[in-house]
Amino acid sequence: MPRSLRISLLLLPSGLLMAVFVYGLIRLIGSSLIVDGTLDFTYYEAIFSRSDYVAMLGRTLRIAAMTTFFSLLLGFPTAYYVARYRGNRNILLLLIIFPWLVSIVVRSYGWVVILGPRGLINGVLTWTGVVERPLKLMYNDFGVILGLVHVLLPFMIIAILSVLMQIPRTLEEASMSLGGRPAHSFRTVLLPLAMPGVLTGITLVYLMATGAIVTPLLLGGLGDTMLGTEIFQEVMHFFDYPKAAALATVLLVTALAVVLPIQLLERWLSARLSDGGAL
Amino acid sequence: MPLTSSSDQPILQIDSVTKSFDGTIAVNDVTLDVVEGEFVTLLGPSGCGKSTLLRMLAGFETPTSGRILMRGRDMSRLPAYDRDIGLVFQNLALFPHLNVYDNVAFGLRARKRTEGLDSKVRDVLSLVGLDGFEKRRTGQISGGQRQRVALARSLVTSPDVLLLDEPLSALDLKLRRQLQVELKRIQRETGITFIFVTHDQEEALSMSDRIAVMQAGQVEQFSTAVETYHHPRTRFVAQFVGETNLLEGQVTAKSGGDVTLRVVGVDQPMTLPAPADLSANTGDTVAISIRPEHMRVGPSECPALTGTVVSHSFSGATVTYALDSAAGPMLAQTPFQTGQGHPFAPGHQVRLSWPIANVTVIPA
Repeated sequence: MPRSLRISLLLLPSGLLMAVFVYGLIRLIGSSLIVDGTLDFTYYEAIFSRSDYVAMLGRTLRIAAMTTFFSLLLGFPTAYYVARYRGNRNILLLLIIFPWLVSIVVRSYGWVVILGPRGLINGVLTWTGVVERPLKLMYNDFGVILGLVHVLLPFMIIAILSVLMQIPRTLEEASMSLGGRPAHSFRTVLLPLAMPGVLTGITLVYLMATGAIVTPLLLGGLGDTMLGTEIFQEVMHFFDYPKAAALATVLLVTALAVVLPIQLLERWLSARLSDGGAL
Repeated sequence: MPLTSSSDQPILQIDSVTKSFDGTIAVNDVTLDVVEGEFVTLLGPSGCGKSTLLRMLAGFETPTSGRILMRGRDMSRLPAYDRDIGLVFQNLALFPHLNVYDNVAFGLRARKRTEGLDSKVRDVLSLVGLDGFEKRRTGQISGGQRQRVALARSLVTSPDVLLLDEPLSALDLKLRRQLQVELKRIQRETGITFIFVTHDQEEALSMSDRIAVMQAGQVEQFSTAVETYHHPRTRFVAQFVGETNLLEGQVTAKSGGDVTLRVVGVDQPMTLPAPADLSANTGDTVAISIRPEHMRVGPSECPALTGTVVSHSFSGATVTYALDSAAGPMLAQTPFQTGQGHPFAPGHQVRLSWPIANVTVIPA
């Protein structure tokens, strides 16, 4: 058996998995498009004619974007700190991955204990008399974004960290010795080199935030759900599979519309960098 | 920049600088003055503190005590980007996302000195022999060319001082020799003060105006290349810079600036000029250093030692003998006369002698 064939045998298990996945995806899209054997956009028309669904789509994309933004804002400095840490980096890595040992439900519910009307923050604030009535810290976008950032931040950190670890410290020192102030060094050396990791992190966090179910369910308001939660409810409560499929397809297409260009950009950047040769 | 200062005005003063990391002393009370336009080498084995000293000059480490002055101004605590000092890194640290031109232009852009940027970049690229390489990526050029890019990148801002941290150590011997010559040329042409770090004593001798030999965080000797080789002041310098024969001797008399020594196995006492800082008194032991090329093999009226040839090796112009003697193993390098063959075979007993002028007394 030729070597290439033998090696491609290794792909068989993942190939089977992919086949099932692609089959499911085709069936999903199919069931939202084909009604009684003919192509029919009824479900899509129904979705886009309802202003509450359009608003929900907008909110989903907005919350995903905000979540990604804040994850990046918190994740980059953390990743940089870990990458340049002189001591035992493994302890820091463990701390970053640690939340993954706890289920998303528990972690999201933890925020209820902190943010809820009778939660920790409101308890302290009303007890000390800073506010008379509890602040609305959850069951709104703020709660959802906070919860999602908490859940998804490790993905951002790990994605950026893996790239930062490849950037020798001497490159930053070289910039400094050439007169580059910290902001200049960051903008012209560190950020361009870290960009592939940043884009990977953005992709991961954005995708997971658009499809989030549990966190918006626990921390979001009743009136303003996210698309993922809505799909979950259509399937689990109303058994309306074609509608759920149509919503899922809309979610998929909007997510791809953002992610694909980012992926292409990352591909291009990575190629440019590896072309630059050894660091 | 205007050359207002007189030529021997120190451009850089390292004043009792000490650096310790968590109680470990890396640089111990180093004082050096570097004159403008000089090529100074910090020479020493790895771990001697030369790289730490360089990093303090560059601004990446702060001295634990002591001061670093540039043109008389204390810059010990100035960040790297506020110092007018270039640095060529051991691993070069070229920016992989930029092409040759943008790597070289980096310093001018960072310092916002973009006026005439293009001609400055092209001038310095032609100085290092890289015309036409502007658009190349740093991964597409050879090791020697990458070296030149690193040099051009640090030179383009015309720094007061250029630091070079073993920049040639990764190159093969032939390329290294070639770049040594070129570095000297570039240093002469630009007039920039170079501080070069290396562990290679040959490299240090061939390139430097002055050499600071370092060991265990301290400068053992700071003198011209010739002085360092011919008048080593410590045992370490004598052994680290070039090959040498070290003999133990006992001081039998001291008068004026001279000492008289008896060396085990040597038939006559020697009277030699003593170094000013020699504190040994009559009866104390000192060492003397004699370079192999100053050893004469054969009959002589000078103080002499009897040795047995152990082996010889021929290297074109010279023959080097390894010998055994009452004073320990010796090396003697003698000019090779054509048509003679090896005059002394292993096992042969010979007389080893040396002109008194070529003997250096070293505190034991």
